[in-house]
Amino acid sequence: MSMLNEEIPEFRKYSDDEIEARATDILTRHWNGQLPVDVDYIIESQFDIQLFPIPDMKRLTGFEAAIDPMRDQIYYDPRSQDVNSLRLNFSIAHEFGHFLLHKDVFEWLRTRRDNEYPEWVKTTREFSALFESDRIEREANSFAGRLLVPYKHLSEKLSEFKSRNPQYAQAEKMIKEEGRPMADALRNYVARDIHQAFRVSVQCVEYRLRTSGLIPNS
Amino acid sequence: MNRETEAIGFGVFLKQKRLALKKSLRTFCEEHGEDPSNWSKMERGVLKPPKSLARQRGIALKLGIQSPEELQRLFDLADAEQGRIPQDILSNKELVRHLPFVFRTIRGEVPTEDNLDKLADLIKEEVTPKDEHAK
Repeated sequence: MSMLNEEIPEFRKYSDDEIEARATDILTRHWNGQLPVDVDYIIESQFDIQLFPIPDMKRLTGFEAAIDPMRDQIYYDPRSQDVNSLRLNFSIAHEFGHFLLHKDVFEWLRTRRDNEYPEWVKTTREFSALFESDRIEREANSFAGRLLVPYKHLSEKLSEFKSRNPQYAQAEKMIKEEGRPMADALRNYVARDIHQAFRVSVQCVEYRLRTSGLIPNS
Repeated sequence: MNRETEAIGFGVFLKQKRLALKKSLRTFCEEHGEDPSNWSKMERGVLKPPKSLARQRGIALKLGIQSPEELQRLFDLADAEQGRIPQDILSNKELVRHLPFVFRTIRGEVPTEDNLDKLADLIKEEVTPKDEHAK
């Protein structure tokens, strides 16, 4: 039976502050404070989730990482490690975010169908097409960024960057005059310099510099 | 010796040792040139432990296993899952097989002949397939 005719419950929504709090809580309890944040190790050592490397998954399915909520397992393509390990870190943290934030969605999905994987895919596809999958994905992305790029450490890296780049103050002044295009350019410049410390992409650090307010648009 | 902690498989032992090094699967495999898929399968027991002693030693080295007891345990667990009787045990008592804690007991305590017979009977009851009893 399709879910199309069924009543869909109201699932929990998260504000940015709530997601920040959740990521900070995980880091406080399970991270040794050394960059980069090893999300795989946190998952493997502290949570009842199994990480499964599946070679060629990306090529065969289009997914670099995926969570199976029926079994609390996260699959990833180990070959992505060679192609783009920074993106793979984010993808795994993203799936971990689903595990922590979207239990209610998964629990509901569990009650709808049996535990056969193809059924789950089908259900999820229907679900994605109809119900707030964009929000859920955004929340998982937001969590991943906050987990891998902790505010305190981002702030420290930015301070180090400023001390190494005396022209930074001038660039900040230009943001006040030129607005977002200049802010985007500065965020990109900084992110290119510091992103490797977090083992995430330039885009992820740009996003964090913007959402954290460390380099605002004006 | 805690029997419960002894009753783990080769894969679980590997994972415990890796996590004790505070290494994720990806990091560990990257640092040691291992294939994460195969290593994961070994940890999950999907893939049997390597037969080669050299490879077993290599694994022990990568996992930072140095004490003779831990090294022996790794060998025993590998042998147990291969369904092989370790050479030193084989020469001692053919009936004793499968269980690493049994290997350890025999090596460490040098049980009496009577104890060995009792143990053999127990193992025959517990682990020998039923159809073999009928023979």
